[in-house]
Amino acid sequence: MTQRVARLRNQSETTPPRLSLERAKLVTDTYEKYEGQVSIPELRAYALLNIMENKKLCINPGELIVGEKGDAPQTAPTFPELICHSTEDMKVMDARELISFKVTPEDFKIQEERIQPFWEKRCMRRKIMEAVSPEWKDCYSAGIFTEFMEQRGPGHTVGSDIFYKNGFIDFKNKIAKTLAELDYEADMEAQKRAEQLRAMDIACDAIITLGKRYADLAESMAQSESDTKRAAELRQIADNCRVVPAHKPQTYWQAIQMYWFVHLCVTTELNPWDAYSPGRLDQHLMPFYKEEDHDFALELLQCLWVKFNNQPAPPKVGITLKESSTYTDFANINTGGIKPDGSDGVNPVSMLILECMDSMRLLQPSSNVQISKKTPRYFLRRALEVSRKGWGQPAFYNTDAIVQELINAGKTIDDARKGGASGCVETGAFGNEAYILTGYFNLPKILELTLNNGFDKVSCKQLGLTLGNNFSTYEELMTAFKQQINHFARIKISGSNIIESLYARYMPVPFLSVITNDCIATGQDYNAGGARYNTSYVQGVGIGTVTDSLAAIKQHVYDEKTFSLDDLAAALDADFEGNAHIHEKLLSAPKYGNDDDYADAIMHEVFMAYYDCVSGKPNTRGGQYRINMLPTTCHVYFGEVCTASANGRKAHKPLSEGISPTQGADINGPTAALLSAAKMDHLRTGGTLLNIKFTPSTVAGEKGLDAMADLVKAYFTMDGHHIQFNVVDRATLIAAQQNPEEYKDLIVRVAGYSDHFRNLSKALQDEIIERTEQNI
Amino acid sequence: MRVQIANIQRYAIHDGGGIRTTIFFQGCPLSCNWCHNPETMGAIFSDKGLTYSPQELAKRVLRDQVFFGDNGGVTISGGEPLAQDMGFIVKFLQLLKEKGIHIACDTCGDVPWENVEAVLPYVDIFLYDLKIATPELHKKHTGQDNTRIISNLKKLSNVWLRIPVIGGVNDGEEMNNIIALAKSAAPTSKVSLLPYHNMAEGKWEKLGKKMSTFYTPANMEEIKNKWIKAGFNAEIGG
Repeated sequence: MTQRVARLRNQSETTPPRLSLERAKLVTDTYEKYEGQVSIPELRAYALLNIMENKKLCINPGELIVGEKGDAPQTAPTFPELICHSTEDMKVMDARELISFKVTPEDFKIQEERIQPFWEKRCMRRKIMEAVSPEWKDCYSAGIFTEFMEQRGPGHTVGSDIFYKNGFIDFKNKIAKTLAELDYEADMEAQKRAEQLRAMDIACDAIITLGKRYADLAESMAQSESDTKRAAELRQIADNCRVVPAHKPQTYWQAIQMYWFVHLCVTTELNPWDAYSPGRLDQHLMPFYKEEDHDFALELLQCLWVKFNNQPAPPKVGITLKESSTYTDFANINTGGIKPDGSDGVNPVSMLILECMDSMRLLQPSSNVQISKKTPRYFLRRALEVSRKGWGQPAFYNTDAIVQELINAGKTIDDARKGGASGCVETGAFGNEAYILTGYFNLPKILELTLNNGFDKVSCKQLGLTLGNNFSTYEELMTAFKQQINHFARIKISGSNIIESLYARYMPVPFLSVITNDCIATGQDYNAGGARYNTSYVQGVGIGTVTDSLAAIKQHVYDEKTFSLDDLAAALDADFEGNAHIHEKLLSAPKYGNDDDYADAIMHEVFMAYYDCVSGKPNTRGGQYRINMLPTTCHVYFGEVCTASANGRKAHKPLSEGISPTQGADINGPTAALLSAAKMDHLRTGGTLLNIKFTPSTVAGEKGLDAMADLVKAYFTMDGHHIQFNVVDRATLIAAQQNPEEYKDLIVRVAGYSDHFRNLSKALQDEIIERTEQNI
Repeated sequence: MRVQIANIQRYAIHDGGGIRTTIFFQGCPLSCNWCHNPETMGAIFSDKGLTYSPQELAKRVLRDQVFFGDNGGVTISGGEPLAQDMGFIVKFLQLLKEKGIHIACDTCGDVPWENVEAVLPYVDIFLYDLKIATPELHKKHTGQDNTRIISNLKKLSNVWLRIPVIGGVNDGEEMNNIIALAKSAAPTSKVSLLPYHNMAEGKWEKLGKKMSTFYTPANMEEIKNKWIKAGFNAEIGG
């Protein structure tokens, strides 16, 4: 790593995040000036233009790619048009131990005197809460589901190659052409389209203005720079910013700068959930890359990595913070995969990206590799070499599954092959799709309510259907459970339809629309169904917990009649206090993650029930609802709102995460866990998330690497969507020694063979604890 | 026809190539005083040990077939896999071979030649232990001399020698004897040198037995070089 990159990386890693109210003030100015005089799309575009004309610019010492979302690294703009933070919110953000944002006294003053009076009654959060039903609000408060758009804009979109092939002047020309061709006689929507298109045109001016201002700043900094080398760099930055974003990039450096300007505009216009991502960056940059420039090309990429890491996710509060408790904003770069013609997509830039990822070790951007059946083994092995260093990147995605998932969801083969996974694991047609995450869905909580006749003992409200709580057969219980899932899915989807409509009406995103096909062609906004494909995702959480709970009930209440449903209910109510015998039976029942068909068949049935209740229902944007299976940090929050569950989990403890088995429940090794997970029908989803944990020595050496590669290939042969590896450290091993029950699935390399850590003598455990650090 | 299995290890990556499932059979003709799997020594491990028919066992290990890839497969180990009901073993291996599974046989070699011959059509590679060359020393540490081990080894071609290097037993002069023996009996074999470790102590304790004390040799590199000098493709571990 060059000294420059090391310095920039250090700045990014050590600067504490803080709020910036600059954007909030500029947006407020625009609304005060134009609201009611221009259409809403144009109002939104003028707000973006005002920001880009007036925001404070920042070129950090030594950097080669320029532009910050705030006025410096680690500054987070706020979005009062979505959520108008109360003074209390700001105090909490400033003081909380985790994911805090520093707030200055000046910020408090601006918020109270300027922002709150204007936005308190007109922000989206307020509009949403006034529009949704009381039952939606009760379920939301009780933790049956969450709502992504309560504090953040409709998200999940990823860039295509369109802005490497077009400058924003080219986009303006396209917009002008569509505007000129509007047929006001035959097209009854023509006036609306005109407003939208004019807004897109203004949004192009916004990004072009930003580029010009950076060119001017770099030029003037060059003039006063005493270091001649840096002065030359600044002049080159100025030259770059006179080409992009107005024109298409001519060089590799300009291509990266182009992406970064686009990223800033998308994430400043609104704060879409899961930021924005360049998607197939290796393929987009390849036409600009020259092998002989390897070292400088890597340095530029590293500078881009710092840029991503400089932008903390927008400040969140309340439930939204709980479901995604992180600074990471999930810009997830896809490397490898296949090309649009179906051939292998690995190229020299793919290897460069792996090198960058490995050297930078930054949480942002979230990086993954796509592995298809055509992917060469050396690429998979190189990616695993990085992954086994133990910090979780890259994650591994199955290209062939993603393509099939997209085709199943109605995409053309061409668009499917250009797609990938973003955010955590969510499948999308990059550049052509608005695939909006609507919220997490708490499956174990719904089983809890099913067992309590629809009554929630935590919020003390009747949330579910009254179907009784005395089920004489397992089938009766399952039927009731499915009815309850359907009941809550209906409430969730009804609310999401309201929220989508509100965003379409009040919060168009003309800039994002410019770069998303086919918004210009149809004159429609991204948030109003203008994209070629429009999907709404609901993310299921806790499949491991709910499966194991049902397996235990099936075995002990119905098959073996060890105890009655009433006895079980009493034990759950008592959080197993005084019910040790029942607790033991529940804990030893069949568990998902062991390649045990007894449990795995239940997993499949629950999965299909959830799928049937959600997938295929229409949304307001001309698309459909679909499911994916991922939790971010929501399994912890969802666990908090759940009482004890029948898998033996104590009240308020975390649920299982992703489609991973319940923590410690998979005791038959990684192959069994993967076989269980593969029994889910991944191709029906828009993404599933599977974590596997290894100790460093288990994956050490050529054999360890080859075995990991075989493991990934096998899981993907079975249509698994995604897998990521945890390679654990000494601290975890010590914790595992102290709490073996929680680490039942931990495998260690002993000497010439691998074994479960819990199966080893204390002395051997100590020895391995001593050894492990050498392997990291 | 049922056989007791001490353990089935999935995701075994050090008993032959690729991802493998290793089956530890119960019972062994030798009783090496450094044994890493002392629980498999006797005929019966415990009343908890599961018994299988060949069909059940094949079905069980084939669950991981998708992971075996080009290099992985099934390893039969123990205990001693060739000191079992050979009708069972042959039937079991037949069932695997029908599915194209790569089979490794981890053997101490101290079994009648007929037993080895019976599995020849199915076994792709023999992971063959060569512990000690001098017959009396062999008898002292394992309970048996090595006549049969050597004669069986000479008849095999697809062999991968595995040499446990036990500090105080075969890490000195005796290693030269082992190399000489290997040169005459299996000159083209790949060689894995497995340094002794005391990690099985816990297992011995659980069985209420005391494990003899040896040490982990410090001169593994030197030993490896001896093998390489003698013309073998030798590695430490695995």
